[in-house]
Amino acid sequence: MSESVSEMVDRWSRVSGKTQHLSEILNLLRLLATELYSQYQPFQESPPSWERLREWLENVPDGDDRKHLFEFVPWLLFVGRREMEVMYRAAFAGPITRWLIDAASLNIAAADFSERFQDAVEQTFFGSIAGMDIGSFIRVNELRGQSLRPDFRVLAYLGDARNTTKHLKSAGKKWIVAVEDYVGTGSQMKEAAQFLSQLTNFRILLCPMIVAPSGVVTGEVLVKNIGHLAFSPTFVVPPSATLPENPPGGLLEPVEITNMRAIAFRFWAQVQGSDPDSQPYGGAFGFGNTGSLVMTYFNCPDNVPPFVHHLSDTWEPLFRRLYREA
Amino acid sequence: MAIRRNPFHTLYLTEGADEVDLPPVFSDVILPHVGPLFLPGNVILKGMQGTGKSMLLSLLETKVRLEFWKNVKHPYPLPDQQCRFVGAGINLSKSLALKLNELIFSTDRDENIQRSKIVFSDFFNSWILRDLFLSLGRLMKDAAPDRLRMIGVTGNAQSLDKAASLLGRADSCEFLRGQETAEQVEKTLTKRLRAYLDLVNSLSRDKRLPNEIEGTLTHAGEPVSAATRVLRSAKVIERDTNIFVTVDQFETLLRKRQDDGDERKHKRFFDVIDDLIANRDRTVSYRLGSRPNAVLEKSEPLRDYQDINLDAILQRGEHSKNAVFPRFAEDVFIRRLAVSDFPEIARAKNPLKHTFKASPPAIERAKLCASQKHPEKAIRCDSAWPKDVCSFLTELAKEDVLSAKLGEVWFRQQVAKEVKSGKKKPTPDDIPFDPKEVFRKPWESRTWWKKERVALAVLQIAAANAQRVCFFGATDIIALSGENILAFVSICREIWESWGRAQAESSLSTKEERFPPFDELRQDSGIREASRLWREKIAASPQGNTLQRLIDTIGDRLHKQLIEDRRMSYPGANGLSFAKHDLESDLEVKRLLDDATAEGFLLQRDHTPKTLSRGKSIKWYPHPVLAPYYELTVPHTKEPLYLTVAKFREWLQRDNVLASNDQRDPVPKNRSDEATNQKQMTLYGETD
Repeated sequence: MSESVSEMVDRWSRVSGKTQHLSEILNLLRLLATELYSQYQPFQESPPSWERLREWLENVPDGDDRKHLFEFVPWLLFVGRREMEVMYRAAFAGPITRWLIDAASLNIAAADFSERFQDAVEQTFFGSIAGMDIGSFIRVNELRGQSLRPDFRVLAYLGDARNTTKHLKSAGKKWIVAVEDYVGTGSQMKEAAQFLSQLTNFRILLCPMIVAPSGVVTGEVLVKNIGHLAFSPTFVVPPSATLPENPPGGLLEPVEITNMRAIAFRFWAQVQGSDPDSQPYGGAFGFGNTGSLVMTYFNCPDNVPPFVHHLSDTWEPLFRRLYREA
Repeated sequence: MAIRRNPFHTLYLTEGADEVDLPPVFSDVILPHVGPLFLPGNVILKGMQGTGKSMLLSLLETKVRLEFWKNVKHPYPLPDQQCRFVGAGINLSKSLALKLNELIFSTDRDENIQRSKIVFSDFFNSWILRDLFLSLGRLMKDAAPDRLRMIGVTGNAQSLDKAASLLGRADSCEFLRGQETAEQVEKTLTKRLRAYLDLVNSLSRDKRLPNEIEGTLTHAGEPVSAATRVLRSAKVIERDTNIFVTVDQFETLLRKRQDDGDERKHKRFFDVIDDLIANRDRTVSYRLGSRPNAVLEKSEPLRDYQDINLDAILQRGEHSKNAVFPRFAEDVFIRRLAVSDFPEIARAKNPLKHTFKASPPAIERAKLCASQKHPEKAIRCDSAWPKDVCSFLTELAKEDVLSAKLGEVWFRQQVAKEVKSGKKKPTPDDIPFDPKEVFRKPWESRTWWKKERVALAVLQIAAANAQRVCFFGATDIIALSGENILAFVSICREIWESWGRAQAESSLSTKEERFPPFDELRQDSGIREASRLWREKIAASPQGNTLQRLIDTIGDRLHKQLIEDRRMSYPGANGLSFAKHDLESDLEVKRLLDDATAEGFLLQRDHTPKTLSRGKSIKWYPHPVLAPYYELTVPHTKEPLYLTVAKFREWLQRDNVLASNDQRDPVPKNRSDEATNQKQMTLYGETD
């Protein structure tokens, strides 16, 4: 039988020198495994996170590589259910409220501000950019009076702009807010925006909860091209939460990231596996070579390096990604 | 399978005495050494963190005594003749006494200090007086008559009421004027304490004492002395019954809070207690529980109080069979297990050995640490050495790596003696040596030389193999505990914990581990974890970050010294020695060392140096439980590293433990200013 993670770490920390931090990481991961990683939704039937961690570590031979893999895990920014709910609230209380005040020209010093703001909220139509569970967003923020919960990317393919405009007008809506929990490069957001651009009678806000830097660029381009569109994300993934393909020139980066870059290159073929039908999108650093280290409990985005999420005949993932397309 | 709880999960028993059934777990091993604690007269019970002060003091508490009296299996551990007392007490860190320093009574600094001292005294008096009345009430209610006779409480509720009314007439207890019964007195005192609590907790900026307190403030100790006298005259207690007032966590009065730039705030309350001990009122006997860094200045030892130094008691016979600590630890171990989910272990013949086995002899330990395939890698021969010697040692290493390592060291020392001084790299011609001398293994017969170097040899063998020295077995655990029961309990806890986790994961990989005895690796990893946690704990103590850097500096430097000492000239260099007069010249460094000692991160011992000219010296060792973390040797053999304070300060400044000289404030003029000038690094490296 193979060694458990604890036994592995125990063996490593028996090595002379600065190895005691490995026990600290182990304790931290134990906590995260119960509190956070256990929330990961795809492939619930797969072994519990602690066992997945072991299988993942065993992808690489015992020694420095495996230790570096282990040291890397806490660098993944895992957004759990509670964090996401907080993000929903923050999105509403922050960018959405600010935009709506502007859009509806509300006077925040007015005595009847609360009622006016409430009216504006009721005149706003909420939808998802590309497949987010809009119901949770509505429940968390106690938004009432909207039975239709559209997905604008779906509407871009199946919907009809004229009908939508007619419906929204008859429902007394003046503004549209499109939210999404995670936007990577923004290609899906672009598709949704295509549809939204046709709804010229309404001012529209795109408000992703978490967005990667390349998604911000996409958002800004969209704003430039579509006059009645605004873009205001809640949380932009900072450059420090990425594993870039090339080391940042002149800047010091954490040694765990440097180590992991070498591993990503070296084990790329093994991650890909031999089956041509199940290849990850993009290269060793994920879709668009983003190298993002942010993931959520409902899936691991494809712009995260595939060594984290890709299953092949020669690689076990830590958080297996559920692909949209087969 | 039912989950069996870790018997050592709760580290401190007496601090949460309310939740714990004390009699079965109370260890009486130290009692014969602390006799004065139960005799009249003031006593200061000193010891570093985790030596069991609170446990001993709890024996004076009425609640604990009643618990013992009810317990048939575990009788009260003191002989009847030592029981003639009634206890009352205050725990300074648990009561809100320290919060009183947050109140400001006057804008004038001196007046403010004066006033706050009086307020503290009054709070202290009220607390203790209330506790005394509650104790007596509880004794009369719950104790059997023969017990009461034994301890010298002969009165009843009526005589207690009489005492209360007499107390109301005493000059020093004006605030009890008109009280007729014990119940009334208790109520008044509770109300008074409540008023203090409200005052401290109140958010209002205008914090003023209520008038009824303002006009009736009392001097420290006077009301309790008066109460003792009336209790005797009203025949509540006998003439020879003592009142013992316990003041636990006394050292907290010395602590500087981070937001409190004025150490005198605490010092002033310290003064109050110091005065109390110094005033020679013999009516009441005080017991102060304190860490070793709290030194009374006004009162004199022997005349005003007696010192009981728990550290010294536990160190007694450190190397002999009668050593106190091993017996204490084993007793604690058995008692904890007896009330745990593992009672069967407590019934074993030698529970400690039964659970942890014997520690390995040095030769075995060396083998465990050396490379299994190529143990000879631990041996380093210089190029100039005769070939015969090298091949002999290499061959020997395959059989007995420890002996080979000692052989290498012995030869290295011989070469150093032969080669003329000044020559850095000897050539083969410089070593006129008969290899046959080596073949006789002369180092094996030099008992002391060998004994002093064994631990270091094992450490260097492990380092050559890039491994940590492994620790397991009862002897190791006792040695690593360093006469500190808290360290001992922590180690036991982590071993159990490590085993428990392995069980939780066992269904996935390994086979189930049965114990006792615990697997060696399990013990080793538990010990390493305890060591790591002890080091982590440093940061949580007062001035923790500075202390942690201090211990890191000492630990890392000593480790380097031990590993690089290839000739093993200083096998005792797991500690530092400073000349006393030298140390007195740098109070800042001295205070740091003292604080770290009080918290149990360093051990302090007197040291008689080799050279008389150095004068009396003091040596410090990192606490043995830290040895696995910093990779140090455990035994305290001869001759620690001799250091001047100036050199040590250089270390500390380089490692940012202390601010460097150009960042220092001008030399402080008087004590209190100097205390405030504690070196805190400024953000921008400048002085204001």
